[in-house]
Amino acid sequence: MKHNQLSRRRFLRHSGHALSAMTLAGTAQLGAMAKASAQSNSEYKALVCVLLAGGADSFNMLVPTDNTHYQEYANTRTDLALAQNQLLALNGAQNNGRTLGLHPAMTGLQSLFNSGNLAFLSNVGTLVQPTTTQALANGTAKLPLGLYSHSDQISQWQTAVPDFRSGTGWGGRMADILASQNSNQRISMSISTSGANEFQAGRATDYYSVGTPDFPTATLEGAAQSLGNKSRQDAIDQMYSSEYNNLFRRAYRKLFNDSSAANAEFSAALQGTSNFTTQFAGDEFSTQMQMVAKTIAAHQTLGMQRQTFFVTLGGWDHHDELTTSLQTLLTMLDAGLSSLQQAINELGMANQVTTFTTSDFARTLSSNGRGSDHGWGGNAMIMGGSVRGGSVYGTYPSLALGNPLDTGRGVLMPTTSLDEYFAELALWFGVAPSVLNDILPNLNRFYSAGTNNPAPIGFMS
Amino acid sequence: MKFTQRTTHRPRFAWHAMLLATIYTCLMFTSFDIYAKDSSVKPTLAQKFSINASKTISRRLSGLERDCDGDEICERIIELCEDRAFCLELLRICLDDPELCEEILEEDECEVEGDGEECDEMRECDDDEEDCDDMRECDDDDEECDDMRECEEDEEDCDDIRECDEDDEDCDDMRECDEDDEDCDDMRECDEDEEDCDDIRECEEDQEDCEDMRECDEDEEDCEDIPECDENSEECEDIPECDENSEECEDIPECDENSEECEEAPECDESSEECEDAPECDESSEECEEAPECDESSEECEEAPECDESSEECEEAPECDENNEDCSDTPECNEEDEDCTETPDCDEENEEECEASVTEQPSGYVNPNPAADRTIMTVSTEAANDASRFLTHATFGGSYATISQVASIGPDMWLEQQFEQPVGYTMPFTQYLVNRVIRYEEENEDLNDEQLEAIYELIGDPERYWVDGWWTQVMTSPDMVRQRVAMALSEIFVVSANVEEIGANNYAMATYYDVLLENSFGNFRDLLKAVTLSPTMGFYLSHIHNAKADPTKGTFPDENYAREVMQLFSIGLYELNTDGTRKVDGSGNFIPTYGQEDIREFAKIFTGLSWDSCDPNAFGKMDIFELECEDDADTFTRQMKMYEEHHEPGVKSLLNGQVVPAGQSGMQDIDAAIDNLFNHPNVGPFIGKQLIQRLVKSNPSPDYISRVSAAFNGETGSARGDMKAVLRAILLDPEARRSPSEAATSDGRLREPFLRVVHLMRAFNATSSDNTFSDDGYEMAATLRQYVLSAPSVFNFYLPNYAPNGEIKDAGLVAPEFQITNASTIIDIKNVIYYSLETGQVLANSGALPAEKLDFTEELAIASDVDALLDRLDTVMTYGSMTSETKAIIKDTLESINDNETRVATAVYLIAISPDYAVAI
Repeated sequence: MKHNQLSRRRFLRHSGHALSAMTLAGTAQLGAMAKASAQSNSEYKALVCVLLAGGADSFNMLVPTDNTHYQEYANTRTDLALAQNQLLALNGAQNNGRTLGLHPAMTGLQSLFNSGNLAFLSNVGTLVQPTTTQALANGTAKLPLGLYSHSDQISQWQTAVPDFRSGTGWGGRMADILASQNSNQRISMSISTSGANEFQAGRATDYYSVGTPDFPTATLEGAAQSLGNKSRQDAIDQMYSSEYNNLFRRAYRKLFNDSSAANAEFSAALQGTSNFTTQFAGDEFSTQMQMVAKTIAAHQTLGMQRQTFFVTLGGWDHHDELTTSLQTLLTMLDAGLSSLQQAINELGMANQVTTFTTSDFARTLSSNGRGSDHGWGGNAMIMGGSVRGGSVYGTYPSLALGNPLDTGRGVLMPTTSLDEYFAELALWFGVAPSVLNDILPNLNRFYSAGTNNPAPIGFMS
Repeated sequence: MKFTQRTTHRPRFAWHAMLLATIYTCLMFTSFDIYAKDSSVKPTLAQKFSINASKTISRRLSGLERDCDGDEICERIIELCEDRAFCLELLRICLDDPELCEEILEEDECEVEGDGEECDEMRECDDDEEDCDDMRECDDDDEECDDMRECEEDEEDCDDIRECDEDDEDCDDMRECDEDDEDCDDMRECDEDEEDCDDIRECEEDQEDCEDMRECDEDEEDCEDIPECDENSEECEDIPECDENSEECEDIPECDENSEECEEAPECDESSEECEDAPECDESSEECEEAPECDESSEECEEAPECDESSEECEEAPECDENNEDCSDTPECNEEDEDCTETPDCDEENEEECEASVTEQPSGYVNPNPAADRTIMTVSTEAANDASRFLTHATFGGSYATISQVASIGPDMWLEQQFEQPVGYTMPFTQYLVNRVIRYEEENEDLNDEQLEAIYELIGDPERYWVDGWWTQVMTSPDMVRQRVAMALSEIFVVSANVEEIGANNYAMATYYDVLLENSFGNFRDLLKAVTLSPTMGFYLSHIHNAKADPTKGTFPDENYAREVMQLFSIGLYELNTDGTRKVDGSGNFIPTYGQEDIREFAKIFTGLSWDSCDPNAFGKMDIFELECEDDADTFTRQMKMYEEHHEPGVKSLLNGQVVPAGQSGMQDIDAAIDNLFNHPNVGPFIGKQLIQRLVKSNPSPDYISRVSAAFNGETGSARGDMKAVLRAILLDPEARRSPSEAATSDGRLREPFLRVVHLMRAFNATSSDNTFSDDGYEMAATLRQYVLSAPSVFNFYLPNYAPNGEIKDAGLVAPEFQITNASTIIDIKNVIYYSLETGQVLANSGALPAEKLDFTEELAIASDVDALLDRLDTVMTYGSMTSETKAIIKDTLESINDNETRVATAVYLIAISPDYAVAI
């Protein structure tokens, strides 16, 4: 069993980690104080998807503070419980009769919540259709594939397809519909700072992978290497300007040249942006956040009307060492998200960029003695000027073991499906209600999309 | 297998777990530091390959205390672990042999305390002991220094000492060693006739092979840490430390030229013709270029006389001289020193224990596959190009030697020979590695999960041994065609390691691939049934534990497999003509092969399957660890079995009006359904076309597909579904065999990115010291978006009908592989190739298994002639299809390069990233 548990954790390190080594080299841009001068296109919108890979213990992020429910929390979470007097107060965070507060590491997010730029959505998760714990117990519930399993759950949070293994993600499907709005068709509207992902895999569109502010795009390694009186680059340039008869070779040559041009264009566009006053921390996550901010700052130059971003912060699979690790990761998350929002505010684009969090699942409320195990429904965050912030949406569940939503060990059945969560974001992003079901094929089991229907949840203004 | 039982009757050390924890922490930090030191440097892909795993771990362990707080053993570990390769070996020793581990780690203590009893058993002398006098580094004013092995090159005495032959008495104390290398003391040069050798612990006086076992080429990482081997030890066979029969022996530095064993690696002097690769070299020897024994006039020697200057490890390991304090820790023993005789090493009285103390070698696995036949046959360029093209279709590719051999036999005949090759299963090596990790776990129960996990990082990722099994067969198994065809089948009958319940289970993945291998030359019907009953597939497409309808619960059978087996594995969506074109009805519409009702009926068929377990309640248990039979860890190696009580009873309708009657057993139902699909006229064109696309070209003509369909349909004299007939039809068809010069502009296919990497390894004879290959694959999968059994969905990495915008789509053609080629990956793959050629190493192998090296011997032999080199590479890589323009550009570049190695590496790089190579026409 030891081995089996290890398997699940090991997987996470890799699955959420693709190519992110690139970002280590990034350093915060300091000193230059010029106000970022991007001329914002008023129609521009960006969605930033932050994946907390590994299953974040989000019931230690958003915690009841009123005595009754704090006690319920503390009784269930035992050694994992945060001290009541350390929880950060949220103005007006009432939900389901509970007053809620934040993990002490989330000071920046506390400010954003209190200033109305951050909202929570409570107990959201993967669902095939509305169901009950009774149906689950007697085997009649239609359940997502691979429930409680990292690989399927992390995938479903990106594909929004819970009942089979989809080859496309909902970000990619949006891009299939919306990408034509961008005047620039050389660079994808789907930008990933974390490499390959399912969220942005479309039927006809693909992600564009970017690096760090210092090294924004992939470049040929060793190309400048001198060889006698020439360089590799000389030879490559010559080969890729040769004519080929074969159609495949021609297509390959063109794709490479187009890619090189796109990379050069992207790098130049980023170089052309002013530095932010906002300081970003030097860690991997904040470096990705900085890259997102810079790309948004360059949207006009890049000819972008719509962009999605995919950013991963891994390491949340806290079967052990939960308390200390959560402190570390939440500090990182808090700093990165706060800096991003601050930089977007500098650009004057607060209303045009919405950032949201996803994660494989939340974790068991009960402790395994050192940490928590795989759960189901959890709490998500939505950040930005268009967010009706300062509120907790959805229904904050009872944390008492054995409550009607508890499927065992405090694994909570979600009360809001991720389809509804994403539908609201997609509608804000400009997806027409008429095609919403193409983006989110499972949505109609929870919400009926129609032009005059109210938003599924209401967290976006 | 020679995993000794010694740990069972030796004391367990209380500090063992702590010690291991310290070692792995060290290891992590040292490897991490390389990178962390200079964050302004963009990490190269090569660095990413090497540090990726460690980096994540080190971050996880950052809370662990590194500070030793004065603990000597802890400090000793940190000191030893400065050399990462040694640290790794230390970990292996400490896992395998706590006692030897302790001895190593307490050496310093012994030296400090001098007369401590523990010292008696140490092989190293204390420097206060007289007997040791002769043994250690001496000052240059010490007379006895004449005998010392290390000499400063400006010392006169050195001249005589450096090169000696066995008649020279002074020679016995000479050896080549660098002072950082703990094992150095074991490695002295000794001739077996010499009395002085008696006490040298690494050698028995009558062991002829002994002399081959000590010296190692220092740029082989694994080498420096492998002190203990005697020739009786089986495990020694695979070490990089050579014996004279080993091909790897070319680099053995120290050899007496009169010694028979030394034939291939003599102590060189300039008159010795065989000296080519021997780093121990007389400085006047021209062949010694790379690693001469230095004297001060030798420019190459500047940094590290004993080292190849390209070797990173060598930078910090200069020859000792008297000014070098670090040298004082490498004493020697001589025969007067009794204390020196009781060593942990072997002599003949001590064989049993000796055997026990033998450190496990890199894998300890003896690969039954023979080393590749490197014989080059004389064939015409035309024949070689033709054979090379055939091999590009039929195999993962081959070196020029393989190409010339196929050319001399002829592709047709060679293919028939391939059909007779035994199956090169991936499971045996996988199983070996699994057994090893189980043993580690059992022997180290006191380690916590994180400690174990860190160790896994070093001994290889225990979830990815199936990948090592795959690579090892792909690189070494003689059934080259079968290995390639199984890969093609794995992109039709897709399961993916991305689903962790199977991807992290070695049995699940290796067995599944072996099912494909086993049926590659069999009958398609058997293949379809074997895939259907595979628990790996059952898991992937959720038909394992698929239960009959339950009216009281309102549940119905899962339709997943029923749909995919038709849509993807057998007949496809629309009725096809034998030439692969779609049939149309009277209104000109395509005709669907099945409807939703058919899916529901087939879903009923595929109910009742679950684990072949002795647990009577196995049905419904998703996690094999919940099964109640203890030895069910290997349940994935057995086909699913039918649990009749969960199988849907009653009549079920199949396609084309057939029905299965009520009352049959579940397995009879499945057989009937498999027959029903297998006999559908679509299978030949549907599967045949996809196999052509995987193996030969993206857009086969209808005639070509017809011929393959005919073979599938039994019209070429074989049974319906005979895979050999299908493969003959695919690989030997005139459309496949025609030369590139006859090809149409629409011919060809983009090479699969992952297969480009495999091809490079095979074309350039990637070898490893123990003939195994290892890669965790995570990095490559992310970089290339393709890896074996790692597709993002059952729809594979790309769709068979994907057409990129532009000329290809406009011409009504398809190019599936373009679907995973984007602005990032088209550059990333070039960088993967660049670093592979820079380092000679392609795979991110784990620390546990020896790294592979590309071998350009065949190309270097002709590198002085640029035209000959380019023609050769054109044959090997592009089978004569390189355009004259590309050739001219590369030629122009190569001519300005004088160094042959750079010339070959540049030529291979430029071809490998050219459109000429990327697209196989």
